[in-house]
Amino acid sequence: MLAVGLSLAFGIMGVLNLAHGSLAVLAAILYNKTLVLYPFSPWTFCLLATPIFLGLGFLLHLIIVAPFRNLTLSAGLVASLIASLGLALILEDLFVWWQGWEPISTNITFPTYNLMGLKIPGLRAILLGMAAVTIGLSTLFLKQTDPGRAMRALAQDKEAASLYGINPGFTSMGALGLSTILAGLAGIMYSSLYPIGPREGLDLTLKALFIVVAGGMGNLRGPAVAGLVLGFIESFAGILFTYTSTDTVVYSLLVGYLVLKRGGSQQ
Amino acid sequence: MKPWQMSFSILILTALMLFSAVFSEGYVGIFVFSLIINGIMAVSYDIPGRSLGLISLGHAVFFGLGAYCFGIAISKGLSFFPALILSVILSFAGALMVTLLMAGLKHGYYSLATLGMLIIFQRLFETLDSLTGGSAGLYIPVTISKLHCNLLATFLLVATAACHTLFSRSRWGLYSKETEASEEAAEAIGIPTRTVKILCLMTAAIPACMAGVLHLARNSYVSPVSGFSLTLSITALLASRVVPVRGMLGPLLGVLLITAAEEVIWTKFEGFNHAWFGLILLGAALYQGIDFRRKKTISAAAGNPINR
Amino acid sequence: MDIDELCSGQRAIPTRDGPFFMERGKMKTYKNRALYLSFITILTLVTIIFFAKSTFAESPKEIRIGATVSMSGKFSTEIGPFKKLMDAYATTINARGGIYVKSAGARLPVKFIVYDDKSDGPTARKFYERLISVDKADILLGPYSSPVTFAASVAAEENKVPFIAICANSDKIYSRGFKWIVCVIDAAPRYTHRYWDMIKAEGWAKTVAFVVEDTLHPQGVYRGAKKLADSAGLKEVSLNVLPANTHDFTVAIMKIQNKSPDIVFVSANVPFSIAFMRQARELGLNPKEFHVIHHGGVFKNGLGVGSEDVVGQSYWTQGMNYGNPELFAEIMKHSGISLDDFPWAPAYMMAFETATQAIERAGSLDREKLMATLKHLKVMTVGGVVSFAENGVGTINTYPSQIIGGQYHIVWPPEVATARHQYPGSKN
Repeated sequence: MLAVGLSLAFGIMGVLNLAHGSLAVLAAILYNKTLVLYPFSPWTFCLLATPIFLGLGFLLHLIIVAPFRNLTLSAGLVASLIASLGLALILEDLFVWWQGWEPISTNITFPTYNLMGLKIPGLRAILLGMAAVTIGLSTLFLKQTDPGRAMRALAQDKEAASLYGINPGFTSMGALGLSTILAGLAGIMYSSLYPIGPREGLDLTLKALFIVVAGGMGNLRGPAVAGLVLGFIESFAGILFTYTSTDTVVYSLLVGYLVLKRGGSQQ
Repeated sequence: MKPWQMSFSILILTALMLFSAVFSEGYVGIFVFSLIINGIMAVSYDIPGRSLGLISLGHAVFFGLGAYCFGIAISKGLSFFPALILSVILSFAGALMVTLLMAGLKHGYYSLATLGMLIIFQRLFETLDSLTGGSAGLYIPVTISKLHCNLLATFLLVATAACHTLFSRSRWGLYSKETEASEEAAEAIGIPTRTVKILCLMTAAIPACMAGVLHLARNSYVSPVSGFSLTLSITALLASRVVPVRGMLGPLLGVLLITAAEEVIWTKFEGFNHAWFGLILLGAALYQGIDFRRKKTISAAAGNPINR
Repeated sequence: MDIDELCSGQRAIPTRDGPFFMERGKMKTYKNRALYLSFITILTLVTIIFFAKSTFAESPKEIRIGATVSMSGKFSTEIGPFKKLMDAYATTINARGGIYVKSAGARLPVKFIVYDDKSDGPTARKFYERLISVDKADILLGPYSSPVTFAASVAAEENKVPFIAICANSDKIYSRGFKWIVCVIDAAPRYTHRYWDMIKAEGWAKTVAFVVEDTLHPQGVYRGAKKLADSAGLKEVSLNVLPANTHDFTVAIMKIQNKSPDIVFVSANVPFSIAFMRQARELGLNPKEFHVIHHGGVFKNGLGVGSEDVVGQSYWTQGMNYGNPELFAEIMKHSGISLDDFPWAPAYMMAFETATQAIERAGSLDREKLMATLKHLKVMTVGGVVSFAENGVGTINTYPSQIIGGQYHIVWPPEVATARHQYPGSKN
């Protein structure tokens, strides 16, 4: 889900948002803090967090996209990368000040189910379902609604989209809002399974970045499928090779795929 | 490059050379050395960055390659100069292999593929325990004095800056600008774009490899995480772009600004160090975006950026 | 640029890659100004760095202890707030009059000078050089972790300044023949020796499966644990060495399940252990005992009831009566750091006590005298007696501690134990 959100931002606006993972950490912190007040389940909190992160996305647009819209493609990409990196660093310190140094970990337990001899951890199954529903809804939004179609048009050809009356500013703001929502939801789900350090935002962004390239930029299904495929490869590589060579195998396959695909003609 | 840019650049390089000769020991020596290494990385990064518009997230691949080739040669019993020559040859071969793989990619795909290469090398060198020391890293004995190391690093920086200038002024530099503008159009008029890219990328890769060698020679230790470091790649990117001036002056000023700002923030500020540094980066980025010109241009009136 | 200017052809077509516009033969005023300001700023910054005096008094009426803390980077979750611990120790000691230094004929106040090493070796080395040459530290405390300490200790050795390593017990650090380093804790291979003594004494366990995080410290602990397990009569039935960033342990868990070991020994840092334990519980991995080498409040909070009966290693828990536990409790309270969340705090306290005793017994801040005193020092601290071997390795070791009823209890040796070892555990 993190990769899907990043893909949207990269594909539609040409923005490499290095603060993307920090938004996931922010969501994890908010969830952790809220749990003290009331024991929301992850899925309930996801619903509550959606409008908050939509607003945050609009705010983020003002910082890392709007100031650079008149620059060339390359200069704009670099400037937004620097701006988002600066923002990520600021957020890191704010998180430490707010939450402390300890990793954020929510202790959610769920039973494990036995299905014909297969052990299915309940929490992971639910979170997988939630991720699938979120990505499905986002895909429907992009395909079936006017704002979604506008975003896709903007990703394909900015100038032509402008000629058709699509406001690039508002549309990209909406895209970043959607991307931020996906980051927030990913953070809530991730922290239900694994501890996240307050300074781990950049690490999360970089992990997501690589899934983006495997699945393609500017679409939702690609990174989602790529993430699943990567997970399978990681598991099988652990059986076929040593554990420590798993990453080497996985990333070699990805880079090989990239080189063979020779992508980049879109941008 | 304009005359005033050349003068500024020569002034900065001369100052660095003097500092590295006078301050080679202790804290100041380490600071000056890291400044120079960052300078080499930034200036070398800027060669394909400016000419081809390629944004690499894996420039540290070459740094790590150079460091490990040198380290392995030393750990096998070679002395400094034979190890240096061997590491030049090996890292040249490694850099060529990486460059050949990456040369066909563009824009976002290039950026992410370079990131992937960085991770591959990191994991690979963690796996090859017997050769590289694995995740624990490689330790080598001291092979060269700190003064000589600093001086070598400064000469390398001067050489890299010279390469940067010569490349951008040569026909290959012009070819690379045309390739960046439109690869198809460049091919159509007979420019060998793949050769241009490979040449440009190799011109950037070799100084980065040598920077890795000198880093290991000075610090006697490298690990996969510190050698193939994403932070180093991003620092090179930042330094080359944070001061929006063309030519080698931009990266030199950028590396001075970033390294000095980082040092001041981490030694003089109590707390929120990352936030202060982030504010500087945010300010530098926003500065690039703000249009000082009040008069409207044709492009601003049309609402589109000008494409070069 | 105006349309008229463009159409008249008298000026060059502007190309833009930022706010700098070119006009033929003439620099723009704001570009001049911008560059000039950049140059002045950089010059000022450089001047500050090179000619700044130490921010601390040059007066000899103060004991300066230099250190770095990983306030950012991968170790920040384990050690981030420890500057507060150092400041709390200094405040507490100074409130009691400071440390008596015979050569000064007075009690001198203590001041900690601390930098953020970003969990990075070369950065740590740079700051230790600064602590020595700019800040004129009298004695140095080491950073967290073996790889960072390995690099940082070089600065101390080259400049001949006493260096007390704390949480850095890789044998590689102490096999270099350095003369100016000592370490409070014992070497990594002996990290879990009390646990294996307990297992041997109890005699119930026959087989062990190892899960090891592929980083320096866990690998070192595993190497020692393997030998100790062997001498305790246990057979290793499975070894799984995984990268530090592993999130999916399915294959490892399946392999271990097939072997049905009595003990699953996880040699890893806390985030890795949490992720492994969570998935192990989900997939029904059910040995007689889980052992993790590092656990703390984060581990317990992250797993909830899943952490019950898990055995780990602790330097100290409530109820231990070595040294001055009241002073330790006061300092922890003053610092605002929770012992559960940061279980390395006792090791740091032991380092503070060691440094204090070394200064008092040396009677001087002379580095040679300090180092000579340290080498022969034998001092009681909150964690037990600290003394040093020829190569600098210390004597402090961890105790096996079990989470029983949501609380940590030392379970071995009997003279220190605060609860009985629960075997088999209530979840097993």
